[in-house]
Amino acid sequence: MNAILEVQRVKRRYNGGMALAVEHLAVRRGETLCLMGPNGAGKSTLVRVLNLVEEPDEGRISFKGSAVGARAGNVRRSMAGVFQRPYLFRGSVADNVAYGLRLRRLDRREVERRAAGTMELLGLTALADHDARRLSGGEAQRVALARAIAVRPEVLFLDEPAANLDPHARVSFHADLRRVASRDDTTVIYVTHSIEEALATGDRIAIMRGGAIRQLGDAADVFHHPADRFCARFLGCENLLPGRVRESAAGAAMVELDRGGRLYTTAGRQGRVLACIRSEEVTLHHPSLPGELSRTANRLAAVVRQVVATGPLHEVLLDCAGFELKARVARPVILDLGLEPGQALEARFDESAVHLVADDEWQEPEAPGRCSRGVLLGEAFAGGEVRSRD
Amino acid sequence: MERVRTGRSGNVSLAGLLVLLSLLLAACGGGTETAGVEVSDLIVASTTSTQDSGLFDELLPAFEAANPGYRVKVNAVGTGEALKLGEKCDVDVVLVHAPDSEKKFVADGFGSERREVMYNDFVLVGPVEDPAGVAGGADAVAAFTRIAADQAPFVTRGDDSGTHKAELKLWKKAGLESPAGDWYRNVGQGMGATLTIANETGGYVLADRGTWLSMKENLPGLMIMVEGDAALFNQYGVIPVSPAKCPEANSEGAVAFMEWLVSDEGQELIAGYGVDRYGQALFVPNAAG
Amino acid sequence: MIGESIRQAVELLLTDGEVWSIILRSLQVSGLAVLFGCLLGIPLGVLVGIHRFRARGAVVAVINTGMALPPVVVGLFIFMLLSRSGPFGSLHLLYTKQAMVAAQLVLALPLILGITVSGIGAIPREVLDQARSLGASRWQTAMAALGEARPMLIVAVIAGFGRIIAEVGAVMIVGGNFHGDTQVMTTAIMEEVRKGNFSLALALGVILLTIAFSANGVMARLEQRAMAS
Repeated sequence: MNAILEVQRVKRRYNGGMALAVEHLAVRRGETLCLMGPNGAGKSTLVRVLNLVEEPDEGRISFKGSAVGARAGNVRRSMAGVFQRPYLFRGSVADNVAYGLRLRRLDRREVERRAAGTMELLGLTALADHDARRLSGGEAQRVALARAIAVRPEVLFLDEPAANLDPHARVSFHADLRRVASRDDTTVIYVTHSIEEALATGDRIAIMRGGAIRQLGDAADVFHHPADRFCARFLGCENLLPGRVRESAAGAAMVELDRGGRLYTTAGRQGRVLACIRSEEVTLHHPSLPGELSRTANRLAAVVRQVVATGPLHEVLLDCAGFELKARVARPVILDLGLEPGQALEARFDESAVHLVADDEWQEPEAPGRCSRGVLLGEAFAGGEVRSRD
Repeated sequence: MERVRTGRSGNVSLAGLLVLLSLLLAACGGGTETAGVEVSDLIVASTTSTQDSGLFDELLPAFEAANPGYRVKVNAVGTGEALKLGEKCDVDVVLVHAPDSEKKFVADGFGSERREVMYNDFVLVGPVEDPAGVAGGADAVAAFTRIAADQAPFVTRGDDSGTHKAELKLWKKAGLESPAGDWYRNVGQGMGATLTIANETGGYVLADRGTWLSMKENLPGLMIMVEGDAALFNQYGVIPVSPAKCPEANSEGAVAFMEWLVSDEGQELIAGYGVDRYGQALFVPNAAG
Repeated sequence: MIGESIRQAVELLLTDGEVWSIILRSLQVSGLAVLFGCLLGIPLGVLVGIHRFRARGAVVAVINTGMALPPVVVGLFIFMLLSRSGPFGSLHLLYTKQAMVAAQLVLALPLILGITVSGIGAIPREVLDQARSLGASRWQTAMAALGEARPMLIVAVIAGFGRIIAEVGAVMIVGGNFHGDTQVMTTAIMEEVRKGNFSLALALGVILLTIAFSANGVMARLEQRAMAS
């Protein structure tokens, strides 16, 4: 049993709504588990429940194999959290860093030694005597992190600690985090909105929605193999093409897309599927000459519809005879190909870049409103009951 | 619909507020008319002992009935403060019981004239246990001497009131220029409060008979020790403030009040006050014609 | 007139030893009442402030009403309790400083309690959760709440002290204004007013005001430091 924290059938309701309904989650000792999901998915509630700050309405929480009940107070001593806002206490930076150590009634010299060591580690020594309430956002969050790790928690909770920081502070905070997380064998439960952050620090990723965990797995695996349409969308997979698997053999399959065209993939699945292709996996080339050799299985003739400079990568919208494909390419590629709307070219991506998920009837999270309104209006017309409301 | 109704109820409550405000203002305004007669305020400074005795509750309605032009307001304070208020022209007439101070008040020009109204007498009250053994005596000075010699607890008003001044005179006659010590408790309060304190602490106290009679029921620990001595005589005087010093004062009202107190009607009312409640009159009218 | 009163106040302080003992007595009585008020009111206030229980609204309403208790009514109530014929008459506490402290405690307590409750209530729940997240026990969480509400606690002390040092109704009734024993600033002022010694009363008033002002000053300094730290 290497689970340090385990929850079974925990439920938490707020004002009648279900905020958390996790069937089972075992946090492995020493791992960094990233919790991801849209706002209101229950990530913070799960953290609060695991942190024993909030009691679930139902369910069982175990710490190192034994149920946490009346011992919650003692178990909480093995944990510490950093939240979206630093919530520093009145007093100096040093006071704050020493707070958790004092709670544990360590003797004064030990408190001072460990607080000083932690401040040293996070470069806070010069700020030790500063008023904790007059720090910049980045400094304050660094103090909050120091305050949490000073107690050398067995489990460290991080609930979007960088969400309120400006981009520069966020980068240096993330650097601090990685340094801290890789130290010791601390178990880290890390809520983040940044996929890059989750991939860089997380051993595993859990994707939550509506209070439940929809997918849990090794970070890279979750990233490349989302479990369903929601996870694929959430993880930033921009091309989701509906189709049907026509031929499949061990380690190879052909998907016939509804809008025309075929894709070759190494993914194994049967029946109706959504083919997920990350836009960064798509490369652009001059139309290939007949008979040209290429190891790339998927080569689609495409016409450029639009090129948008969206930052480090440019977004290229392509018409691929019936369906639309999005690619993200670096500027040199644009320059090299002289890309402009109307231009014909070839889009290529590897077999391994095509991931298949079941084409469930999951509603698109981005536009549920538009969808339901359409249905409503349709019904209203069908019933012939549309009148002015007065 | 909803919105219209809300708006109207808002207006209604605003109007109600205005009506309430104007009523309050009207209630506060002085010099209002009653039954076509112009009414003016007449402020009387008197002593707490007079107020506590309940005499004003009997006298004032009768005075106002006879003189519908005045509405009397009583400011019940110590004699010292009453005279001070007269000096400062804050009141129109004073009714107090400290003849020497009153005469000085008139002599200094603060009062126009002084008329004697009535007297009551002081009683020496003490704890029923009577530690100094002075109960039943008829000589106030002897009792005071005894109390001082025994250092029996004595509560004094110590507030420059008529009663306090009368008490100091008795101490003087008993050979104490200014009594002091743990046994002599100066509480600096009015008659009622002083009697209450004496009741609670088991002390002797010099009180005017009016207040004593009216409060007796609430003072189970106390009883009369000495009464009827001529030295316990307590004369009341009424003095309108001098119109020369205080042109703003309601001099006419003050004189009317004084004249009414010494009139047959006023004197009869004083003579009858308290008979029904205490079986004896609290005050003896003695206006000289 | 005010200038004259100030001059007379200074003169009193320089020449009249009795005035000093009255001042010290005022500070002693009201100071003790505030001290007990804090010992009782702050823990209770934290309790009510942190917990969300069903009758909380009613409790807070009672506390807020208590802030408006008229001193004379409180004085009368304590008087009736301590009177010879009252339930605690045998303790012989009437007309003692203890009785005055008790009455002023009753006056100061709702104020200290109420301000503590609102001070604790104003702390974001997340701050207390943060303390718990770092391993704070119930008790330690309450202590963290106290620490966060420090400026409000100082306001509570100022308000409580301000109310009772200036109060006359209760101390007059239960203290009796015994000279040299239970007389305090306010009852002394009251007495001088009754005697017609207005200027002396005003001089005493100036001294009382100065006391209240310096007490506020001291607390304001503490508050500043609490805010800063």
